[in-house]
Order: sequence, then structure tokens, then C-alpha cells
Amino acid sequence: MISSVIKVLFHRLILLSITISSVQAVYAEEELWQFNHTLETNLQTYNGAADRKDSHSAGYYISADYLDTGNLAFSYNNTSVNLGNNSYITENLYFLSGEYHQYPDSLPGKLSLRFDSYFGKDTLEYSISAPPPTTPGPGQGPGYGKINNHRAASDTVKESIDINTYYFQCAFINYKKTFYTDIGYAFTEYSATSNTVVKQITPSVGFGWNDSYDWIQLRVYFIELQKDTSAFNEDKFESLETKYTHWLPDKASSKLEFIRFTLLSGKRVLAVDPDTTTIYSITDLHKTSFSSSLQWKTTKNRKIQAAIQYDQYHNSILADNYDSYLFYINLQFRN
Amino acid sequence: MMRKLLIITFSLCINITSAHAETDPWKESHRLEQVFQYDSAITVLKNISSDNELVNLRRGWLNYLKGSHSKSIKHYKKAIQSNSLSLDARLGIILPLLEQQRWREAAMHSNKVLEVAPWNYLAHVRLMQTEEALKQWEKLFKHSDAVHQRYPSDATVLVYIARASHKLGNIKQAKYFYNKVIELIPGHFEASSYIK
Repeated sequence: MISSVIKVLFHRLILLSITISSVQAVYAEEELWQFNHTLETNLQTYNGAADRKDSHSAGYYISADYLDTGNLAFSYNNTSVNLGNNSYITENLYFLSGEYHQYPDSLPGKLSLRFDSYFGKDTLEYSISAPPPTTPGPGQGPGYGKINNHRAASDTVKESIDINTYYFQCAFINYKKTFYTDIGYAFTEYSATSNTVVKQITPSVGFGWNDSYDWIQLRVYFIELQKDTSAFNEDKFESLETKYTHWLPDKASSKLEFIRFTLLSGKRVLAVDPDTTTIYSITDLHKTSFSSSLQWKTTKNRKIQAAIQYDQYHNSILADNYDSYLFYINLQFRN
Repeated sequence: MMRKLLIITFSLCINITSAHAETDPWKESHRLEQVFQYDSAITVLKNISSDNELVNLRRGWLNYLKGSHSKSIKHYKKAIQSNSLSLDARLGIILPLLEQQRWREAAMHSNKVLEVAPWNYLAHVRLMQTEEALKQWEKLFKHSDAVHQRYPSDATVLVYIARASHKLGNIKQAKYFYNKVIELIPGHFEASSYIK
């Protein structure tokens, strides 16, 4: 099991490395701009889920920092969910972001204004003779993809949903690196036969101590769902994410940079995570999540991050409780 | 009558001279700086054109002292715009940039100075500060070692070599350089603490 997971993850990373090597060469000489590349992949397995088996994902993220003034970022992510019965959901998601830093004399720190946009499509593909138990998946609902559907083959049906998300954030971190706060607003629209609009407010506060080697960050998700036909009995969801990070002193003898634990409690659905720039486009109720991640600095300009995550979900259509394990790895390099 | 006229003329001259001294904005600005009245030291320069290179340098410096780092940067940038060859302005702008932890911008201006003045001490030391903040230990070691060759009696540069050596895992070398710091400044706190 583990060897097959590692094989899939590294296979995807190698393919993506080849694709972007030319991009790196072009930008290597620029001084004002600093480019950070991230190749990432994950594999998720579901236990006890009636309508999904596993999923895998791969993506490329590039961030360009202009001195200390701001940055631009772009990413592409491809996710494939195996629903069983030869049914799949494929998600292609693009991300664009711009951030501008201000250093007002009236504040003892840096103020950052950020605007993100995500756009993409989810496509559900299934055999007409053996449809999935529900019409599950990212942005799913009773009205899933009826407008955009078409027959791909004699007995295969494809249905799709467009995803558009806009996120605005205002953040502050003090110069001592002991206090951080931000507030963000996300507006997401899933467009198919019936539209689903998700509004999210995410305030966050973080504190550093022990010379900022230890950090704790609390992020609250207030999510309001506006849907023509709701799969839930409620339309408001609240959850709290607690993240603890311990940074290790920068020593030649240790390559490990940090260790992080993240706990999500409460109820969350169709959330936008601004810290990981992830859209949780699965409509099943996200109840609990726990993850642990490590990051190593392998060379002066290269890092590796690995994480494992445990999640609990509830599918209200099937009254189905299930959980999942996610294995994640990324390679980061800077030029 | 003649005597009275002379007295009036003499006293008038004194008044004019003292009035001129009080209203000379440069002199007054420097006087106010010495007594830490930075706001007033800036205010007395208000009648001088904001396009004046020297007044921008002065406002940049005074705002830096006052802790208004963004204003300081704004004035230094104006000074650089009016004279792109000015090393004063480049060296000046680095100070508020370092205060705001804008390491890459500070490094850029330090490097601009070093392009035309390769062994300018201030530019090197300020560049070392950015290298330390950005954890560029190998770069810092090579850089500080090269500067040490040119400024062998400077303890600050030795401290940077010692810190870089420590971060690169070379404890023996770090101790060697901290010992050299102690030779120059007996009782140097950081060096003494490390050697213990």
C-alpha cells in the first residue's frame, strides 16, 4: 500500500519537474523578482464511504516576489476522484493571486492586502448503466451538471460544474514576529443547473513565542450556503482550525525546518483555505480533521514538505459517515 | 547725537544678525536634532523646496531618527531621484529599510553602493545584516571574510564571520573568530558568552 502510494507521488513529481525546468531557466537571472516553485501531489483514501474510493491530485504553484513590495502567484491543480463503478470526478483548478505589502508608520508591522481568484471545472463521468450511488463530488448537489452534460461515448455520461471563487484578505504581522492577524472574505459560485453560492468570512489570529520558534494560529470559518436546493438542513456552518508550528533552530546539523499540527473542529463545508490555497469543493460535511506535517531544507534553495491528514465527513444525502487518510508531499525550490 | 545714532545702528545690526541666526532653517534644524526634537527639526525645513536634494536627505535622516520609517524612505527615494549617483541617499535609505525588515530592498541598495564603491564599509556591514536576516550563511561567511581582509581590526565584521561559522556547523572556527573579537574588545558580551 505505502510503496504504491510513494510510487504514484514520485511519478507525478518527476513529470511536473520536467515541465517546469524551462520556466526556471528563463527567470533565473532576474534580481528584483524572486521565484518560488512548488510541485505538489497527494493521495487520499476513503474508508466506509458509499460513493467514493480514493482520489489523487497533482499541482504546480509558482510565486514571484517583487523585492519586499508584493507578489504574484499562479497555480494549476488536477484532481481525480474514483467513485467506483467506473465513475470519476475530475477537477481542473487554476489559481491567480496578487498581494501588496504596506509598511505604515502608524503600525508596528507589515500590512498586506491580497486578492485571490480560483476558477475551474469539475467533471463527473459515469456509465449510464451503472451510475454512482449519488451524484457526489466537488460542488455536487441534486442539480449536478444537468445543463452542461453530454454523452462522451455510447454509455458514458459527462456532467460538469464551473467553479469561481474570489477571496480578499487583509493581514497584519508585527515586526517582532510575535503577533499575526488577518481577516478574509471568500465568495464562491458553483454553476450548473442550480447555482450554489458560498460566502465565507475567515478571521485569524496567531501568536509567536520562544523567539518565534513556536507559533499558534487560530482560524475561524463562518460559512453561509445559498443554494436552490440544499442537501443540508442548515445553511450556516462554523468551525475552528488550530495550527501549532514549531520551528527548529537553523543549524547545519539539522535539515528539519518545522513540525506542524493542525486540528479542525466544528462543521465546515465548501470551504476556502487561504493558508494552503485550497478549495474543499466536496459538499460532504467536513467534521473533524487532524494533520501533521514536516518540512526539510535539503539544499540552500530546496525544501521538501510531507504531511499526513485524517478527516471525518458526513454525507447527508446517504446519511453516511466516513473518514479518509491523505498523504501529501511537495518539493519547493527557489531561484 | 552722533553717539546715539551709533548705538541705534549697532543694536540694529545685532538684532538683524540674531534674527538671521534664528531663522536659518539648516542651523535650527541641526540644533533641534541635537536636543532630540525631530518633529521641530523637520518642520523648520518646510519652506525649502521639496525638490531640493539636500533637504530630502535631511528629512530622510530626521524621519529615520523619529521612527517614521516609511516617510524616511519616501524622502530618500526623492533624493535618489534627483541624484541617482548619490551614495549618501543609498546608504541612508538602507537604514529605514532594515528597520522595516525589507531585507531584499536593503540588500539591493547596498549592492548599488558597492557597484561604484566596492569596499565601502557601511554598505558591506548593512549588506551583512540582510544576509544574516535572510539566513544566507555561506554567502555571509564568504562576504564577511573578504571584508575582514580589508578591515582586519573591525570587530563587527569578525562577529559576522563567527556567527556564520556557527550556523554552518563549524564551532571550532566560530570560537577562533570570537576569540579574535575578544582580543579587540575585551569583555565583548556575545563573544565572551560563546567562548564560555
